Parts: sequence; C-alpha cells; structure tokens
Amino acid sequence: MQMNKKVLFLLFLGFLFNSCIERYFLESAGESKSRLVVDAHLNNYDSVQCIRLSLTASLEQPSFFPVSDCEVFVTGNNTKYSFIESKTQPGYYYNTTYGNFKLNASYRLKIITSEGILYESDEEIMYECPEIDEISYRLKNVPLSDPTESVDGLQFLVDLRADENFTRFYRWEILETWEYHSSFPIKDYIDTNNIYINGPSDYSKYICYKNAKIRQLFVVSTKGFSTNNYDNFELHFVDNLTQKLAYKYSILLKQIAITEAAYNYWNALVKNQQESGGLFETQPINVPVNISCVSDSTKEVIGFFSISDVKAKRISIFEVPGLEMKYKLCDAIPIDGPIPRDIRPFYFVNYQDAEGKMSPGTSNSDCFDCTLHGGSLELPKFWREYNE
Amino acid sequence: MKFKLQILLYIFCSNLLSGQVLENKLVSGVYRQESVVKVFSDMESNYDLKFYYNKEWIENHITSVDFDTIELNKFLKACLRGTLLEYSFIEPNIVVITKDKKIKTELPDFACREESSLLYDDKDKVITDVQGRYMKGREPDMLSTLIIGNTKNALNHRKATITGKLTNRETGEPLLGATLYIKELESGVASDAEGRVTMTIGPGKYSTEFQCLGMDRYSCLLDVRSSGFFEIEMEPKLTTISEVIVKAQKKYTKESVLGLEQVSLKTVKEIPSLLGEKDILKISQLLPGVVSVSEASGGINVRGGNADQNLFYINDLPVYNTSHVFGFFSAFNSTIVKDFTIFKGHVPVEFGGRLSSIFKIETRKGNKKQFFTQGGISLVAANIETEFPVIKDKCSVVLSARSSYSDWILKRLKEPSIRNSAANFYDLAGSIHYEINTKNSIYFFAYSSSDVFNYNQIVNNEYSNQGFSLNYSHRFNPKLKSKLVLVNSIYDFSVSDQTSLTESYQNKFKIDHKEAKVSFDWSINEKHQVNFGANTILYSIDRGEVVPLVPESEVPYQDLGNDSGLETSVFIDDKFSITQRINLYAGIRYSSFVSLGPKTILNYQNGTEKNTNNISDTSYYNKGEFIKSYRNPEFRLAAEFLLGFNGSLRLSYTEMSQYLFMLSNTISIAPTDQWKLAGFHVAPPKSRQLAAGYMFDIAQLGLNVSSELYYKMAKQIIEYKDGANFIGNKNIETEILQGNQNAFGMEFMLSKQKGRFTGWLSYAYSRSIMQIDGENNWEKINVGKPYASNYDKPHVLNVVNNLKFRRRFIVSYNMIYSTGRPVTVPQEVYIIDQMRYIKYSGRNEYRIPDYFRLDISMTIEGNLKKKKPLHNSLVFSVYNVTGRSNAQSVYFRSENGFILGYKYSVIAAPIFTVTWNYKLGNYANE
Repeated sequence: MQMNKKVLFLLFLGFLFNSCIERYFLESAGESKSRLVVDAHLNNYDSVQCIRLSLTASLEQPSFFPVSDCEVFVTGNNTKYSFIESKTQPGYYYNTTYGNFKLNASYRLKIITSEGILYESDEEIMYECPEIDEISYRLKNVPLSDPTESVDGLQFLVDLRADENFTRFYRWEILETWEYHSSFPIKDYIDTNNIYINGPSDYSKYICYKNAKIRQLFVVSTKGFSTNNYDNFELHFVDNLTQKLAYKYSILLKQIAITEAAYNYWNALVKNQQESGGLFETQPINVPVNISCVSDSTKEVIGFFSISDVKAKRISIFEVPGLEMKYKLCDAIPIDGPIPRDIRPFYFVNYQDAEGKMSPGTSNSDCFDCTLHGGSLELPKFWREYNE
Repeated sequence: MKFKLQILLYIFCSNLLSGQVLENKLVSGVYRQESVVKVFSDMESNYDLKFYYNKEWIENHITSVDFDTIELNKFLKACLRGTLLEYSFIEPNIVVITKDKKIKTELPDFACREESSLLYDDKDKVITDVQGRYMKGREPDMLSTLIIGNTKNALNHRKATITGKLTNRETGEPLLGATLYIKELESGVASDAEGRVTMTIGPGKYSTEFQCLGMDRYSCLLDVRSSGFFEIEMEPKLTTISEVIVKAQKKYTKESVLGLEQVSLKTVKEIPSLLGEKDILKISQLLPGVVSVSEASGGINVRGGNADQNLFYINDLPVYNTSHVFGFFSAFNSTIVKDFTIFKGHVPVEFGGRLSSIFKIETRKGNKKQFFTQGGISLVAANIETEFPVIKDKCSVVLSARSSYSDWILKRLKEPSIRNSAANFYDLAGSIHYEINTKNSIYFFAYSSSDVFNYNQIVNNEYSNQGFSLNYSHRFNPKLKSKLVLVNSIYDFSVSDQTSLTESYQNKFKIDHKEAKVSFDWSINEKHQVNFGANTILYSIDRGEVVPLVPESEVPYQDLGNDSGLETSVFIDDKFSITQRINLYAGIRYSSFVSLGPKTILNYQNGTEKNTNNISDTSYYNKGEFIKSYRNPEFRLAAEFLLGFNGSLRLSYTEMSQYLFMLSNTISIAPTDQWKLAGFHVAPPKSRQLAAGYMFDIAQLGLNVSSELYYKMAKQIIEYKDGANFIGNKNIETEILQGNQNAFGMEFMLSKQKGRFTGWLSYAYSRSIMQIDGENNWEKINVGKPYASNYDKPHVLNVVNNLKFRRRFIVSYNMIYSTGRPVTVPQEVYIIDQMRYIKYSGRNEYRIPDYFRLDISMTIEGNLKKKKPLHNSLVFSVYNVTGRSNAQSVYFRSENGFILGYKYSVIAAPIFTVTWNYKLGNYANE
C-alpha cells in the first residue's frame, strides 16, 4: 500500500521537475557468472525419481540451461543410488528406486561435473509422513482487480493431523485431472488430404482428460503449536470460468514431510515468487541452500536436496451444488468468401444468424478437437475408481 | 599632571641631547616560568638598567622568554604579554612600567617648537578639524571600564562569579554563541541561547574582549570586585560576510565539544537552493557526516544512523516531521531561524532520547527596540516575519508565516490527473520573549505546520505538527541559574488511498508529546561548571484505525491501538578545567522508560517465531499499569587538550538510548510512517560512540581545519523483515527484528570564514553496517551476514563557496558528490520444477550510480546605505546546473518474461529560480 503512494508521488514530481526514467544495466550484467542450480527433491512415492541440474540464466535470457554429463548419486543407509541422465532431456537425471528409501535414515547427494568438480549436499533425514486427514472444498467468491467483477469457484482445503512423533514441517503438491468437452462434435470437414467428408456426428474427439501440476507452493510449519495439527490449510482455488468443474474434477494431493531446513527453503521460494519484479521498496529474499561445492568453496550453488516420505490422497468432484458455471463455448462463425486453403482439417458447423436462418459456418479447430487443448482422449485409470 | 609634564620635558630634552636609543639596546635572557620581578632584577644587574614599577602589578606575573640577543623593547613585550602593563623608556637607562597607559616620550612633530607652546592655555582656541582628528588619533587606546560588584561584597579575595548578558544593540536580541575572552587568563566562555555568559574569576582588572558572529568586536576592562551582573550591547557589523562557524574550532571556548556543527542564518541565505526555498536541513547535508537517502526524501542520516535516530528541536519544541512535500522542503521558515546546531558526536547530558544526533534550531527572539519585518517570495512559497517590542527593551513578539502556492502551478499543467491534484503546505510560528528583570525571563514559542497532498482524488495525505514551549529562566545568584521548560508537541497525519479499490483504506495517526524539564547551571568556581536537572516526557500514541474506504475494499477493519509511555531522565555533568590547556567533561544521564497500559500483549511460544500462529496466551494491562520498564545509565565523557599552533585535540565517549522509533519499511521516510514506542516485545535501541578530533587554525590564511574519527556501535536497532506491512498490523513485533548497527568514519573539514572568498570543503569517509544475526533462522536477515544499510554512502564530498565580487554582488555555488546508495538487485534467473525464480544479490550488495550535483546562485543586494527604510535582494539560482540525471532509485520490472532494470531520476534537468527577499532597514540588519 505504501509503495503505490510512493510511485504516484514520484510520478507527480516527475511532471514538476522534469524527471526521467531510463533503462539501467547492472555493471556486471554482461559477465554474469552462472551458478549450478540443483533441483533434487526425492521421495518414496514415485517410481521414477528425477534430479534436474541446470545453470542460472541471465535476466535477459531466462531459460533452462541444462548441465549434462555429470555423475549424480545419492548415498545413505549403506546404499548408493545412481542417477542417469536422460538422452532426450538433457539435465534430467533419473533413477527407478521405488520404495527403497528408509524412514529416519539420512541421505546425501553428490554431484561430480564433467570438469571433475564435486558438489555435496548436507545430510537430509527422511521423516515419516502422516496420512492425509481430510481434503475439503468450499464455494468462494474472489473479487477481481475490477471491483465490479468477481469470480466464483472452489477453494480446496486440507487438514493436517499429526502427532508429536512426526515432523512439524510439511508441504503439499497437487496434481489435478479434469474432463472437458469440445464445443461441437465433428461432422462435416475437409481432411488433410483435402477431401470433403460428410459424416454423422463424431464424438471421438469430443471428451478429453487433462492432467496438470498446480504451480503453486504450499508449505506449513506447526512449530510452536500446542498440537501438530493445522485445520483448513488453504490449497488452490479453481474458478468457474473453465470447464474444470463442469464434468468431473479430481485432485491427487501429495502430503510431503520435510525437515526444518527444507521448510526454510520452500518458504523462501514462496516469498521469492511473490516479490519478484517490483519497485525496490521492500527487501527481496534469497533462498537458502544445503549444497556446497567441495572442490571450490567460493563457488556458489543454488538449490536444495531433500528426501521425503509422501502420503497421497485423491478426491474427485462431479458437480458442485450452488456453483454456476460460466465458461464459454465456441461460437460458429459464418464463412465469408472462399474456404481458406491452409487450415486442414477444416471443420464445418451450422451457423444461425439473428433471424434464425441457417448457413454453413466454421469455428477454430480446437472447438472440435479437444486434444488441441493439451488433453488426452484416454480415460485415466482412476477415473472410474474414484467415483464419489 | 605636573609629574608627567616634567618627565615629558625631560625626555624631550634628553632626546635632543643624546640621540641614543634605549629601546634598541640589545639584551639576552632565558627564563622558564620565572617571576617578572626576578627577570627585571636580573636585567638591572646585567645591563645597567633601572626599572620603575609598582610591585603589586607584576609580582604574580610569571613569564617564559628565551632570547639570544634581542632589542630591549621586544624583550619587554614578550615578558609582559598577557598583562595590561605598558613600558616606556627614558634615556639613558630607565624603564618605566605603567598600567593601561603608555607614557608619551615624544612630542608631536608640529609641537616641536618651544617648551612654552605646550604650556599655554588653549581653552579659547578653536581646534580645527584636522587638529581634532589628529588629537583624537593621538589619544591613548581608551578602554571603557566595567565595574562588577563592589568592594563591600568582596569576600576576602574569594573568587567572584560574574554573569553577563550580551545583546544586539539594534534589536535588543540576546546573542547566542558570543564569546567573552579574558586575555590575562587566556580563557573564555560562550554565551547560551539567552545571551548569558558566566565565569568565575578572582577579583581584579581584566582586559576583556567580546566577539560574536556578525557583531563588531567589543573590548573593555572588567574591574571585578565581587560577584555581579553586567550587560553588553554589541554593535552589528555593517559589512558582514557569510560565515559558518564550526564552534569546535574556537580555540578558547571552554566547552569540550566534538561533532558539533553550528551554522548561522547568513549561510543558509546565500547557498543555492531548490526552487528558491531556503532550507536549513538541506544545508545540514552539506556538512560532513550528514546525508540523506536521496534528493526527494524526508529524513536525514547522521553518522550512519537511521532517519528516526535524530531529534529535532525548534527552541525547546520537538518536531516529529520536519519536512514539507514529502521531504522536498524543510518545515521551518528560514527567516525566523537564528542559527542551528547539530550534536552528532559528543552530546551534553541535557539531551538524549535519540541515538544519532540532536538538531537544535534557535529562532529569533525579536527586536526589542523597534518594528522589524522581512520576507521573501520564491516560485513555490512566500514567507513573512515581523518583530516588534511590546515593552521597549523588555518584551518582544515575533510572528512568522510561510505558505505555498504550488497549487497555482499544478492547475496550469496539462496532465488532468495533476490538474486535479493538490500539494500545499504552510507553517506558522510565534513567540513572546519577556525579560521581567535581570533575574527572570519568560519565553513562549508556538509552532504549527501543515501539509496537504492529494493526487487526483485517489491518494490523500495530510499531516501536521503543532506545539508550544514555555521557558522560564531564573537566576538565583550569579553562580546559579535555572530553567523550567514545559512543552507540548503533537504530530498527526491522515491518509486515504484508493489506488486500488480492493486495497483502499484510511488511517489516522497521532503522537502527543508532553514534556517538563528543569535544569540548573551552577558555576561552582572557575574550574567547575555543573549542569544538572531532570526531564520527563509522556508519550501518547494513537495508531488509529484502518478503515476500508469503499465496500469493495478487502482491507479488514482494524484498530491499531494506542501506545503510551513515560520517559524520565535525570542528568548531571561537570565541565572541569584542569589547567588552562586541559578541559574535561564528565556527565551521566540516567534515563528510564515505562511502557504503560491499557494494552493487550500477545505472548508467543518460547523458541518460536513471533507470529500470530504462535501465540500462547495474552495478557491485559489496565490503564496506567506498568507493562515493561527499561533503565539506561548513559555516560558522556569528553576531554579537550589545547595544543600549540592554535590547535586542539578532543576526545569523547557518548552513550545514548532511544525509546521510540519509526515504522518505515520503505527506503526513505514517508509521511505515512508511524512512530511506535518500545515496549514489551521491543527493547529500546542503545548506542555507544567514541570520537577523536583534531582541529587547528591557520590564522594567516583565515582557515580552519578539523578532522574527526568516530566509531559508533548500536544494538537492538530495529530492522524490518522482508515485505513487512505495518498498516493493518497492530502487533509490530511480528514484523521486525533487532540487531546491531556499526558505523565508523573519518570526517574532514576545511573552512574559511573571512574575506571575499568564504565557504568550506568537507569530505567524509563513513560506513554503516547492519547485522541481524539472531539465534534462529527466522531471526536473521541476509543469512546473518553483515550488510550495508540503505544509506551507507562511503564517500561524500561537499564544496560550498561564496564569492563576494562586490559588496552587492555575491556568487555562491555548492558541489556535492557521493557514492550511490546500496540496493539489492536481481542478478540471475533459475528454474526449479519449471517455475522461474530470481537469484538476488546479497542484501544491499550493489549500489545505484554515484551522485553528483552542482548548484549556483547569484545574489544581488539592493544599495547598502546604512539608513534606508527597506532593503531588497534578488537571488537567481540554478539547481543541478549540469542537468545530470542522478538516480533516485533503481528498480526492476518483469516485462514479457524478461526482467529489465530502470533508473529513476527525480530531477534530470537544471532548474532555474528567482527569489525576491526584503527586509526593513539595511541589509546587514539582523
């Protein structure tokens, strides 16, 4: 709130005193030294474990720069787990060690780069994770930046129930899956061979299922609480402007037990995300690390190694009483002039004008073929199992 | 008379006859701390000389001379230095020692006729002009003699305490910082705000000199018989030059003061200023050790301390917000300012309550002789000041007003959002000074300042200071005087913000400061001067309510609650002269603070972060109940050693503590920043400062050189957690951390006070380092590593010069260079689980570009006739002559997935201003 006023004030002065805003380049921006970024969060839930190694990128070119040809392994409990780089995804190192990590054992990550530089993490202990108690949701109305508008949707919540034997630090990951439909079934179309096909309504590309990982971080600490419980922790919010909640919506919630150091890491990431790119009125935050370069202690590393016990729980929702869906379907567009040659297949749909007169029309391809929105036609395995 | 005449005749004749010159007779002698009587008797035996003198005059006089072959007159001059004694020669071998007056041993040339011409009765003769002037010129330097006390009261040669009052003859105003210097004792004292000087000396006659900035030097003979009172009216100097006194450089002031800067109004007037608004706080930033975060920021940082570590007094009234228009101008009308003093190193025990500095602004006491007015008009504001006597020579009134008319400019701008905006301010001050008699005086001062800022009806910000001080001085006897001060100062603001409807809110804040202070000055004897007293301050803070402005606002209603506390101090110090060359200062201020109810205090689980998740229970305290108390003894020590070559070495040790602080998580002070008292969860910050300084004068060039080293360690300094939000949070402890602040540096200043070319050059190397390294992870900032504070500017160079080409034409310039202030910047981007994060530099690891600015002004004075009704002057000034766009801030924004850096400059072009000033009478009128 204070920041806004300051900005306004500065603008105001700008007019009075002929102020100016110019591009500013950091002195060392040209020779930014890249640092190794380690993203290594292992668990005993997924069958395939992945460690990602990359380099920091300049502000001007913010992309993933993989670090290849490293020797990556995790040791602990008298075992060595080697991670092998994927041939198709450089910088991604995989190991299939489902269920092999032992509770309360400590593990350490080691990385030897192609230049022979050794990086090593602190020891991380895998704490047992309690079962997920209850996932719930409730209707919520969220105002938009335009105060006359708001959006309805579902707020998901989780209760944490643990006793004194469990760690006090947790985070959650959410995988959401939902069913969605095309706006129109496929009927008449010109296929890729430029052949006009006039058939009965085809619903084969009408229903899709899509998976996505919620790109939000959820961390909690119950340190200092009288009990190791947390009621109604707010997870993500799903609005009514998409089809997500229209047919069936399912989430797989992973509850991850973490150490205090890992909590500090995740919590800092949350703050780092919130504060990126504003006027520097308040101080931004850097993220703690638990990996260091053994060969050269001056080399800075970013990232964290953790190993966690995970409990998962799925809930599915068919319909939400009291929630009016406001997603938009495609409209048919009248065909004006010749049929474009570069769009194949080209789908037709009847267009009805204001007077009710029908004429040939069309719409975008993704209004007919749901897979074009990234979903899959294949029914997820759990789709029938979790009918509530 | 007859005797004298005989001598004269004798000399006349003997001169004619002999032609020998006794005064050039060569002598030699080496004496260390020897009685003059002994020296004379040696001379008599060694050189066939005969000395005539009154033994009483010289028996106590000790001298040190070391000459190998020197003329007799020079030898005697050295022997009798520091006395009022004169010597004359009577050929062939007689030396006559006289007091005050020299014997004329020659006759004027034109009188060199016959003896009778000197003897004839000339009472009927008309003396021509030429003769008159000649006669006058030939009169011995007559010193007026001031008799103090009377022999009846003289107590068996016991020391007497003399108290003097020094005033300006034209206005009747008391003179602050005027000095009384006694040649025989080689010591002196400076006057206080009421123009009073006090000294304890033995009975006797002393040749005394009074000096004051802007006043003609006044010499007289003090005939001290017993304790008593005297008054001196000093004449204003007609052709003063702009002057800055660094008081610490006055070699004979008795005070051992390090880190004290004093600036006179003259200086303020001639230095170029932004938009022609003369500003004492901006000028203070030209002195070493004083900086501000940036151009458009309120608040200053003294020797590496936060902006809230400075206490501003206008007379005895503390002012909580010293700026107009968010820090562009200071809240004091410079026309009523007489001078101002900054204590940034050694702070006398009388003052306390802030860690970094005490700013003391003294205003004019008013003309006690006649009506006087002055004022000025600049581009943004106009000001007027009037003074008049109510009872001549006894009681005077000062009234002043300043008001902006910047709205007038805004309304003419094209941009509609600016046209609908308002930015105006005013300040008013009034005082009555009544000298009831020589023993009692009353001074009442009232002050009010107000600011309104409205941006397009979206953001509205109003703030004001209001207060008065009542000061009653009483002199019990020449040795003991007292001062009783009652003060009430109120600062409040209101803010309403509708920038975003969902975040729109309104808040009002008020701090009420009630203070009573009593102090005594006791001159025990010539070696000890003791100051003691007590003060108590009752703070009442109403943090107000946060009220959502529109129904859409998501800001929850919250009552931020009240704070009250009582700060009480007792203090005593002693200025102790061990020898004429060594002065010591020792004092203690014992301060205590009690946080008072009513209040609900949250208690947090042990070993947990203070946040609302970790509350264990709450405690309620009733009205007036003690919540928590703190006590701090603050020791203040100083020593001064006067060395040869007009130099002096000074050392000081200062302890301070502070019981209230400002809630500001922005880089510079904003008028929405609230004050908060120390309390249950927040311990008061404390500091210790060691300083050493060396100063000397190069008298031939009129230069003063001073340099100081300091090291300041502060603990329990309040630092804000990342993204702290105070509005809407009544539990401040959840948003702050406390840690250490270490500041150290070297300050150098070269100043020239006399001549056509005056000004100063100052350079400071200083660092200010923060470290917040608590036990637990959440109690650390920057991973517990030290980092530069927001206003850490290692190199600061200021040059201020006034060039007086003619008496009516002055060109001034100032040049400022400083290292850019530290910032935290995004350095790189990295990707974790397909999400992008920013790698920031360490806290404040980078710096914004260096700052450089040159301002020039030209003052043209109206004609300088001494007797004229009104004096005018025009000041043309150019601010930021080079048009350099100095960075106010550097910030980064994410645009299309890229993070781009921007530099914002508030003033990126030269700004030209004309100001018209006027005052009644001659331009040198004070």
